[in-house]
Amino acid sequence: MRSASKRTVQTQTRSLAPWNRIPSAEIPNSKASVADATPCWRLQRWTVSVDDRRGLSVYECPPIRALKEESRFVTPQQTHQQADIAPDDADGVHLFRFSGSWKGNDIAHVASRLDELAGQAPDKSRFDLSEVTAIDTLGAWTIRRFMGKLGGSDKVELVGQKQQYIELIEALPTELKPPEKDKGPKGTLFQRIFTPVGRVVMSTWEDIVAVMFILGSAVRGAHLKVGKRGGLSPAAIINQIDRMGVQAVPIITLMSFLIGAIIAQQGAFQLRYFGAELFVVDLVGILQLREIGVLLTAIMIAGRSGSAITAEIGSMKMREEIDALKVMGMSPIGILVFPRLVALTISLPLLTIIANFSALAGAALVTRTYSGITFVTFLARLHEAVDYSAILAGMIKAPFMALIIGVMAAVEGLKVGGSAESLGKQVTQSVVKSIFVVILVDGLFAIFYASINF
Amino acid sequence: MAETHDATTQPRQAPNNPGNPSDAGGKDGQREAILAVKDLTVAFGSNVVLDKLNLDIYRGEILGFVGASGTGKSVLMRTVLRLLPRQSGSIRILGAEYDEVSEEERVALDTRLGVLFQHGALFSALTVKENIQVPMREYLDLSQEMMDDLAMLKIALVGLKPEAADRYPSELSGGMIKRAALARALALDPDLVFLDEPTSGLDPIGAAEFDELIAKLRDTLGLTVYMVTHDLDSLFSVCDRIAVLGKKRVLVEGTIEDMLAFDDPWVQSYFRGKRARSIVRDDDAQDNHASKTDAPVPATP
Repeated sequence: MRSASKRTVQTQTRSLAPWNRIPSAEIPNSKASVADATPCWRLQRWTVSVDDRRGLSVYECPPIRALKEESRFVTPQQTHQQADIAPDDADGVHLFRFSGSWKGNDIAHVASRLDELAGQAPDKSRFDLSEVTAIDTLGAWTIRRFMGKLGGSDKVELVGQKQQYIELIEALPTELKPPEKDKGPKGTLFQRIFTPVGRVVMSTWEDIVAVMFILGSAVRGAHLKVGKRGGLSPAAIINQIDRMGVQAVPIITLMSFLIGAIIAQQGAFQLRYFGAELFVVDLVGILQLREIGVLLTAIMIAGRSGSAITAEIGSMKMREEIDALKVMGMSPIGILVFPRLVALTISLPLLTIIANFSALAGAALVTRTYSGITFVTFLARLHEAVDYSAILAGMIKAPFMALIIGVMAAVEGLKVGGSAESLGKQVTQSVVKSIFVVILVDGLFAIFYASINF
Repeated sequence: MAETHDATTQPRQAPNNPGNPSDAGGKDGQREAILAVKDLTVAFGSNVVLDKLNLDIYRGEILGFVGASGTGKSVLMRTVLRLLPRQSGSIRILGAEYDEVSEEERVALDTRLGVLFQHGALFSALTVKENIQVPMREYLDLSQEMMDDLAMLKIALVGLKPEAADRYPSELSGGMIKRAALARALALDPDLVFLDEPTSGLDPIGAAEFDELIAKLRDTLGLTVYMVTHDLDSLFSVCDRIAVLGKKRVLVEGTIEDMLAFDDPWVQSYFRGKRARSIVRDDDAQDNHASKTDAPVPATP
């Protein structure tokens, strides 16, 4: 038998199919597993020898290191040469030979060199593009800009076999104009300092007007239409109460329970020094019922429902749904804002009551654990410490908080412009502003109560 | 003013005789301007968008409105619909000056306009059927069953499948959204319909069907249509008149022939550009063939 005739062939590009048939045992020199060398173009570098005895092709693999080195995503046909330029003086004109690939990242290193070359500013020059292997718009623009620096197409001549490269370069504008910024008169220092202040004042004023507008429209009722079925649409309001009120119960309960427990624990620890541990019940009871209960519930609702209102109304504004309502002769405030305002005004006081009970329960549990105050003692002390005025003082604030949250959210929602960014911004604004105003109003109430001894 | 008065006393009802040719009005030269815009000026800050613009739309016609991007087509439409404030000028819709009428009349006027926004502006929280019923619920005193029937009728009218009725806008294709929005615009059988680029984003077949639909509705319901469009096919096939917006006013209004004859570089390149040429040629061929039998009543120039 003859020895296996070894025929080494530089194969052409092969499909993956024969590759899959290679028995791994037949890759003698390979340190690579089959999985390592899947891309089919790499087959080109493989040598194939035919083992006649067994009728098998033997594929030999170059060391895996060699493969890794050129593991860039380039087609194998491209001799991957980076962009280059070589100046050359020939018969009185500057000749620049461009070569390699003038694409994307291949250009970066040559850009500074082009600037250097442009500094010499020869009188007349010729660009030879014959050796350019590939070009994209960035490459074309780089060449075009270089051309411009050398005096534009009057002084530069483009030569090369590939007409489409020359056409591409010539099709580009000689210079790119930056977008015009309409600069108003700069104004004096005084103006420049006070313009932003004025803007803030104006926008605050506009906010106030918008709040009044929404409140007024809401009071006026849901529908512009005269006659039948004016006013409330119960289904919408109940739907909103479910979303803003009922679904908020678990989180409000949990949050208030924890707050009550925390206040009681801290109060108990501090009051222990004075031997007045029992007075923690007074502390928790009055603080929770007068201030914390309604305040934290309002803040939670501002974050939970205020943001939802702003986002809903804002996205409807973006999608022209508000305009559609207007051209149908319906008041968007009446249809969208009014049910939400009513629902909030009903929900928030009820949630406040739940929050109060939950917080007192948390406090009772903690005082029992840390201070040994029994539930009976807790309740008896609570009964003495808290009177109706404390409960009332907290509950009166709730509808005001609800109105603030609802109106602020609606105002911000209606301010949404066309962009997704403005939606996000207004939702943030809505939550921030309503929480701020809620706290501010709470403070005003506290001052008011103090001055009337309530 | 009689029209307005009529509208205030009772909610707008479906026309009893939709096909009545006298409804289309104005073949005898005495055309009723259903929308008359006079000396309209709109500006944002110091940027004047529309300057002393005049425009009339007559009952029963389809007016195509074109103009380069950014010339204020949308601004004009939104101003006419009072979504934008105006600096000066008057807008009379159905013979009534909007700012002067009482609030009840204003609502009555609103019910006689239908608007198809460019992106449909369907209420995303409601199904197609509920969307169509929004204006009905508001202005008509009908039982739920009647409203369902009426909504399904409108859905069929605009060529939507009945299955589309219970889908939400997010589940509809672009063409279906336009049709559903048209159905909502037609919910109260308005006299005047505003269409903002009704065929943009539709494939040519869908666009042609939409054009036919609008022409059919004009013929059967006596609709008047104000159509902002860039679709040359629509302009050539269904529009009775065309108005071109440019230089802050209406540059020219009239038939296709007027457009082709008008001496303005933009108008010329628009109506005689590469894309228009083939349509013009087709039209000519057709006209010679059919010797202008049933061309839609064009306004006499």
